[in-house]
Amino acid sequence: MRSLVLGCLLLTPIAVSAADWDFRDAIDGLERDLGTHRLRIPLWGLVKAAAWPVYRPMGVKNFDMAIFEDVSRPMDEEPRVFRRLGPGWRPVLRVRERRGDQVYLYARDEGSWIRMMMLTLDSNDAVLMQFKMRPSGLLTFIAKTARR
Amino acid sequence: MRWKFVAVLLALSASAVGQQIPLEALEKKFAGKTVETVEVNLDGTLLTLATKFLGNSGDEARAKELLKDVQAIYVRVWKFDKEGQYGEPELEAIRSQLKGWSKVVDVRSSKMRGENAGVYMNLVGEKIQGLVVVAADGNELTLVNLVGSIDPARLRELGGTFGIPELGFGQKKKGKDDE
Repeated sequence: MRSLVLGCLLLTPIAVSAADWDFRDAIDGLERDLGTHRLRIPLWGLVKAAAWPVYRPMGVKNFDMAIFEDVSRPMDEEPRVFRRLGPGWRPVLRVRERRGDQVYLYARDEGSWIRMMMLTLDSNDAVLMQFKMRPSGLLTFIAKTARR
Repeated sequence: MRWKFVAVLLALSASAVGQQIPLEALEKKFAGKTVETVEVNLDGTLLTLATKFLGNSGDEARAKELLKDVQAIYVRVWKFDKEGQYGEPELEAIRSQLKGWSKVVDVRSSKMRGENAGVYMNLVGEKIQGLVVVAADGNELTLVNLVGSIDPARLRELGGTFGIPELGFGQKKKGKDDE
């Protein structure tokens, strides 16, 4: 039993790291694609740790975010970063406006959770978000995001 | 209502794959010509999982019942900066992919700028196996493809969500109390 608990404890950080890898990889890719760097948000880690266990809109958890300012190379096609995501990621929503505003939402089934990665872009800034939500929340989220 | 005319093309075929109409050709054709495009893909395990975990009361129960036999939802909205960027040839290209589907409603405006709408259904026995909605409205073209079974009478309940336009079939308009 002890070895099982120890095994779980050892595997958990590995699983978390693997899940976060796509997000970190996406950030690196976006920095290259957009010709800018992620904005450093002071105490962001602390804010996440303190606020998210209490405030979980739509049951979202494992939220992370990267902000990119002064985008020097606005993209006229889907960011290549999504092509580099690991297996299981699927495009759920794409909204593209000619004037530059773009929204991309990719999702991956993770058992009883769905991991989402969303990128919003305008002519100057970009925001990349990653979070997990319950499958039941996915429909509500998509329905509201793509509301006409 | 903006979506005064709605063309709903309902198609049924033996397999779910057969009910998903190919969109790549249209996407390629319209690439670079639109001022806005919206693409929604809800399929496979994502939709199954999402539906399965919906609650048994309120809006979630309603959605669960509505989508219980729907296997996929695909929506494409192409918005152009001016009228005339697409026309009858493009609409006919969509219709040509729906041969064998039962036409339920087909409204075609004689004016180029007018709205076009239609409803097609493909039945296996008495069961609907797929649904396509095409709404052509001046400078905007919307195509909705539902794979699976859905009650057409309840289709309008999906209007305004998932990028699907409000669907008016001469019934009382739904209130906007679901925010």
